[in-house]
Amino acid sequence: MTSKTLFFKLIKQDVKKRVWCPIIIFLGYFLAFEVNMLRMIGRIEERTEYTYALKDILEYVEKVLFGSNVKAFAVLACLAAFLCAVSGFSYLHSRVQLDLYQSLPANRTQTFLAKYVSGVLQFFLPFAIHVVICMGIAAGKAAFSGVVFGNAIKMVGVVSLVFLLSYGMCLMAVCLTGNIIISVFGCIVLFFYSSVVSVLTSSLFQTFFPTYMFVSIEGNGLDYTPYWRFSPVSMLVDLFEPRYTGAFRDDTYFRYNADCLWKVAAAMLVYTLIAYVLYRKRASEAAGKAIAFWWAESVIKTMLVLPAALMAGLFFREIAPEKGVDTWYLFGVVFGFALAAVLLEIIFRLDIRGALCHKKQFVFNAACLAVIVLVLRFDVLGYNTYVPADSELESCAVSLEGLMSVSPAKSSGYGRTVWYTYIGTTDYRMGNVKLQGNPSVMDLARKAAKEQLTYEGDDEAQKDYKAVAFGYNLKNGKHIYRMYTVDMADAQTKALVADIFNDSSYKTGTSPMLSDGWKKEYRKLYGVGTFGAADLDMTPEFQAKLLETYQEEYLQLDFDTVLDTYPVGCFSLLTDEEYQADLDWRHGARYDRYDGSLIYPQFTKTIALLKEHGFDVYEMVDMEDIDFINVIYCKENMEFDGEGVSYVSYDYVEVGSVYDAAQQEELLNQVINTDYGWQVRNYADIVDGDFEISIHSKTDNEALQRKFDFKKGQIPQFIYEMEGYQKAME
Amino acid sequence: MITATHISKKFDKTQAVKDVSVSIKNGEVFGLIGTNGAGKSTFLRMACGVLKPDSGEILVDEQKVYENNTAKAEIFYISDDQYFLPNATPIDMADFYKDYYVKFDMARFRDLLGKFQLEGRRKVTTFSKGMKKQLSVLLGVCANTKYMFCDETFDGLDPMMRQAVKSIFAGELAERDFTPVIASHNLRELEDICDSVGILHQGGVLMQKDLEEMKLNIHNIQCVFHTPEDEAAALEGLEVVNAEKRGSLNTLTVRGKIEEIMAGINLHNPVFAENISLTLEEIFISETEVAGYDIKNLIF
Repeated sequence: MTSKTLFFKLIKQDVKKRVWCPIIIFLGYFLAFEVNMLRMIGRIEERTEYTYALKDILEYVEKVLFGSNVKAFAVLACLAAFLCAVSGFSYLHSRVQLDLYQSLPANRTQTFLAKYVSGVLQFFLPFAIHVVICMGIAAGKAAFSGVVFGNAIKMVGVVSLVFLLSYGMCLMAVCLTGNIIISVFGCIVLFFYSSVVSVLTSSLFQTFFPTYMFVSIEGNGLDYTPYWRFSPVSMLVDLFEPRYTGAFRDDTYFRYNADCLWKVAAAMLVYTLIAYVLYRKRASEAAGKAIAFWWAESVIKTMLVLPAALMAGLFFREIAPEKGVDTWYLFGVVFGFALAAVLLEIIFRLDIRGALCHKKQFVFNAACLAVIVLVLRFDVLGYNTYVPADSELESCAVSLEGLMSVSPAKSSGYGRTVWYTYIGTTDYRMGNVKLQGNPSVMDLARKAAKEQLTYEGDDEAQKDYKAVAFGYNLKNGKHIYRMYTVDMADAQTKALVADIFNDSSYKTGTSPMLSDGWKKEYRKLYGVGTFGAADLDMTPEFQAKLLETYQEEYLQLDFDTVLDTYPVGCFSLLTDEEYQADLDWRHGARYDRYDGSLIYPQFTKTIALLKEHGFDVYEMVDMEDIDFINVIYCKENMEFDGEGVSYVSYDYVEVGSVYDAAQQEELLNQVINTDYGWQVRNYADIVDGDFEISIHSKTDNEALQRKFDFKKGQIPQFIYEMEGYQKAME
Repeated sequence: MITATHISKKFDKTQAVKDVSVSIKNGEVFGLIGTNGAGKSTFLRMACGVLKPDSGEILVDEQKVYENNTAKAEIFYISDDQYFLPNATPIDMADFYKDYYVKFDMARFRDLLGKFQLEGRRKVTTFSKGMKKQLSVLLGVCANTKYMFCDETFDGLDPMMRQAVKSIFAGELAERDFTPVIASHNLRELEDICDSVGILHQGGVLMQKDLEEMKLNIHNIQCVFHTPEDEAAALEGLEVVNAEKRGSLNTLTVRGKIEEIMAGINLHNPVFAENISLTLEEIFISETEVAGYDIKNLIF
């Protein structure tokens, strides 16, 4: 018999033997595809579909069913992969089945390939059938288009790849183990392992290293995570939840990180190859044992026991009273270690009497754990004090935390329910700022690393403590991140910080508009002035001129000016897509401006250019239109819970309404618009946050519906004399 | 021909088969005997390619078996706990084997099913243990392989079925190149089936003999002599394996050809001398006692 004929016969046999497997997959996808589709179509036809705010069935099919639903289908594919792998290869765990299959004239390669292909078909055929049926239903509803077809094909490709990745991983688990229960356990562990270890490592570093910072950014050659994310769960997160807007495809509905696809494909090939090698090398007598390879048992135990012990340590540290955290942590580590080690031995031996087997490995693991605990607790490797030598450095990213905390928006959400969130300011800066040749940068890093300041809370001596994030981009391609605390009351520190801020690379790197704006085509300008607001149409000429002018003046702004000057406005530039999202959300999602570029009084050319285009930052309120100005006092209370822990709460006390025109004018001269005032307040101590001021106009003027803060030390005397304030003080 | 040369197999710390060398000629029914744990199943599993020997090699028709489809295509293995596909009927199982064994004779299988009164469309799970064993043998016979390895397949079969299977084997042996290898822990089960036998004990081969040759070369003689001098002289010329005396009656287990033994005894004018047939059991007891083993403890 030719191998080819036998191969197809083996596939046929395998499908016959476990025909229940494709049936279950078929039913699962039937519910996910047709049933869900018909339910949604019904709701769209009834106009009761609110989740995605869909216009019609075509939009649903195009953007949701064959778009954002890809994640749900991928999760189902993972479950299907688990089912196919375990049902197809669990015969390896049965001696009687092995005696049959391995005595037959079919070698292991043929059997593996036949079962592998059979498993793939058992998933793919039901899945593809449902996709075709749904396309048929869509066509029947006149909701079929080229885009629908393209999206369906793309989705089939992505979901199939996810299936193959998970299938390879599950096969590895099944071939590595000799018992069905252990192999199920193994699948779960391998599925989540790298994600759990990533979170655990991050938590341990956060707990023990004050300078640790997690940077979640991708692109510009930066790794956004220091761990090898090999488990399917980690890969799926990377595939479907990219952290950087640039990694998204243009289509905001059918989101996946195309850059990640090759990683998934490579991992799938590697896992399948490993599974094949394990299958080939696996001895038949391994059936019934917990682990099929003696060498793997020790490795697996160490890989499981150490994280389990450290996790237990963190858990007990978390629930411990404040004073005994170290003791509780140590208890948790020892308890977790002993429990995990004993449990694993029992599981591997399938016998409770095996609990204390392998004493040598127990001691070895205990020693490894002790080393990890000591390294973490006492920073033996100098994590906190590490600063690379100047010669190792390619460039350095710095983020003066709180100072002009602006960052670009990124789209988020499903279907039409798209909104904009913002990339973390620090993350953005770690990817964009590339300082070179400025000695103050590394001087500040070395000073901060040496001083090892830590912010403890409401300590008066620490009121000038500020955080500074460093991203060391080394010549060897590595990126190392640290977050230091510096004392701005220290003149030398302040001078170093000023040097960094005044560096043009820092300024452009921290401003999304100046670093990315040249490549974009903006459609709208939203401006907020001292009192007014504006909404301008952008033209390419206006955009170029504005960026050029603003950059010129912004680069001349020095650190001391920032610390003691009140900005007079800010503006944001919106692309067409961002503007459409704003319209959909009636500006609600972008009410708080986290990407507004501040306008200082020194930016005379920018102010003039904006005025020329219809936005006067100094435009005053029409005093005649003001009905009254309301003032609220935010009373800070220090409270204690039953266990003596203090926390701050706020009472919003009505101070009163100002009707007198003269007082109104005096008051308005001393306020700063909160739309950009928050940026100032975060860093410079020139804004008073105790009061909240709002203007009530006679004509319901929208532009005036804003909140204002008082400038520090410039609160009009009559405010203190108002009855509401007096009461609040009581 | 199956040749095992110094094969050993260890499971963790247990030595299952140790330095076993066996040679099984084509066209004979070979019995592999040993107590539980003697290594019979391990030997068969290595011989049919399920297990890989740690050392030594097993050749079937001068080819290694492990991962060799050509060699395996001539082997049908019936394990001590044969696996049948879930919800399968005998016909389903035949279809299954047909995919692997190109010479599988479906018509004959249906015919034999009828003769053995096994229903072709009944689920195997509803069969008794004996019926499953019959089915396995029928599947093996119809696969038309040169070698058939049966691990304790005949233990517990009723005498009629044993006879039926035996006749099938006889037919196969007469018609084609067929070599069944039958493992059992009970010598009596194999007595009327096997041509030659190998005894495994504690992982090693104790002995391997042709049954006919053994039967022809060892005899049980009962004799009475007139005088003790005659008796001594007669016994002196014989290769006595075992001797027992009750009164004047000598019961001797003697090695050699029967004609020569009787001629030697008759020379000394016995009162009577008679050849009483030995059972296979008795032959083995005699043979292995010579080797220094108490075989009764090993296989009965």
